[in-house]
Amino acid sequence: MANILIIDDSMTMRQMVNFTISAAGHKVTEAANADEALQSAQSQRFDLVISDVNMPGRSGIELVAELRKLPEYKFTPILLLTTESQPEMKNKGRAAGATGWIVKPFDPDALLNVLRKVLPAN
Amino acid sequence: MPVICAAAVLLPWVWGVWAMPPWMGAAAFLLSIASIAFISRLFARGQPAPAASIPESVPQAPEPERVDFDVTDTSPPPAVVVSAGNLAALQSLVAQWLDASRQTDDGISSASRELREVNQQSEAAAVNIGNSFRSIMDKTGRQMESAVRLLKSDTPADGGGSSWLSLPDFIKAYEHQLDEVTKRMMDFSQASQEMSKHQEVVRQHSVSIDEMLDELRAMAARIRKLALDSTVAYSEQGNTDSRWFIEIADRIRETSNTAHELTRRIRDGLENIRAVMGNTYEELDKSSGRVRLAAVQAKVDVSQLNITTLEKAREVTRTLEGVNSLGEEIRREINSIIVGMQYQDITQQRLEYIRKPVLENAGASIAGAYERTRREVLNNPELMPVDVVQRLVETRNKDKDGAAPVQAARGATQSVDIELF
Repeated sequence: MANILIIDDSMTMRQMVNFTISAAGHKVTEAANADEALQSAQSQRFDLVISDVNMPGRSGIELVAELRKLPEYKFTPILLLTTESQPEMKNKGRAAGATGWIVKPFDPDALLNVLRKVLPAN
Repeated sequence: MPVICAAAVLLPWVWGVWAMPPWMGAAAFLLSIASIAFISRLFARGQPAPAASIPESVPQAPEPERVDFDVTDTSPPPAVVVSAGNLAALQSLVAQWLDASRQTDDGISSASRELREVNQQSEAAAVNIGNSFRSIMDKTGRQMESAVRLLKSDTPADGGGSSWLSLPDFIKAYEHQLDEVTKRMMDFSQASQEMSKHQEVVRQHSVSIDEMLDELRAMAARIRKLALDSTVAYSEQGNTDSRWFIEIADRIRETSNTAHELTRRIRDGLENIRAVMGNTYEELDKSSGRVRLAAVQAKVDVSQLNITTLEKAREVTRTLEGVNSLGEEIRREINSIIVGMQYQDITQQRLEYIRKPVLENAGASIAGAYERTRREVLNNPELMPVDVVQRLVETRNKDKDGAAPVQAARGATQSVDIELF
């Protein structure tokens, strides 16, 4: 069972991601923006972070860059879940340190497959 | 003449533009400017082309003259003198409005396409969600039906040809068979207890018979003693005293009667024993017969029940497989709903994309052109009639106050009242 942080300004999206991941037995913490996410990340250790890109305030790509600066999140898998699909945006995400890029709408089975691949075996 | 025509075209625009949205005012202004240009060309036919340079000072526009038109008059219109500077300024403004309107048109077309696509996607997502919910309800209902049919009816849940007992009836049938066998075993047990009692009676009879046999032995001993005594007495006395023989005979008769009585009692005892043993045997025979019959019947019924159990187990397996398969389909429908629900966020983001770059930019473009036009007119009052310029000055001062009430009204409409009855 992994401890997963999800960030999205849309409550519906957080609900759908939470529902999908919780059904697989993982523990989920939600954040509505990058600032809340950084606070949560510093208060407890997460095994995986899933973030939207377009959010009020700091974007998801900026959040990734901030998380990578924290020593405990240097190698944590961080996935970006977004409506954006342009190659230049993906390159920005990769350059910031994102582990993966998932385009909305996501298929629940596909998301769980990605989680199985990026999460550690234990 | 051209001034009169210009005034005739512009005045309605100026009168009504402050009450309409900026884009409508811009469109009306464009139309007015185009009309003026067309009319000017008409009146300037045959005249030399105006100079391209813009003079430094633009003369004040003369007061419009009243001209009575005769529609039957086909003579060429009088020549109109239009200052080159004013025309150039107007042409520049028209060009700017054309640009603004083109940008607006492009933006609105793009926004329309985006909105159409967003609407279609949202509608499709909503329809998919509805269909998925209906499908889930249908499949859940079928799962319940299968499960209830296993417990209730005697027709196979998978629609097979023969009918089998339902699960509760099945259990009842097993119980009944067990009851029958148990009852027969109880009968046998009772019969065994009766046999024990009979055995006790037989034992008592045996004891009596033993006693009687002891008495017989004693009698035989007495008779031997009598015979010996009589032989001894006869040999000692040597006479034929009849009283002694009578006494001996009496004693022998008594002993004989006693022996006879004893044998009768022994015979009765043996008869009793035979009767008791006969009854016991009969009871045991009946009881064991019943037990045997019950066991045979139970064996037959249990065999049948076993066959039914196996078939029922297969039916349960098939039904559970069907239920599991329905569960998998329901899981896929739920996934489909999750995908559909995400369109709320996707729609919101795409509408945001339309609002910012398209609508806001288009609005800014029109607002910019409008402001530039107004500034141009205020800086060059000769472009417009005096009352138009006056209104522009008044409107400039009113704009600052005009924004607040709109914002207040906008804020007021955001509140939501909830009333419970």
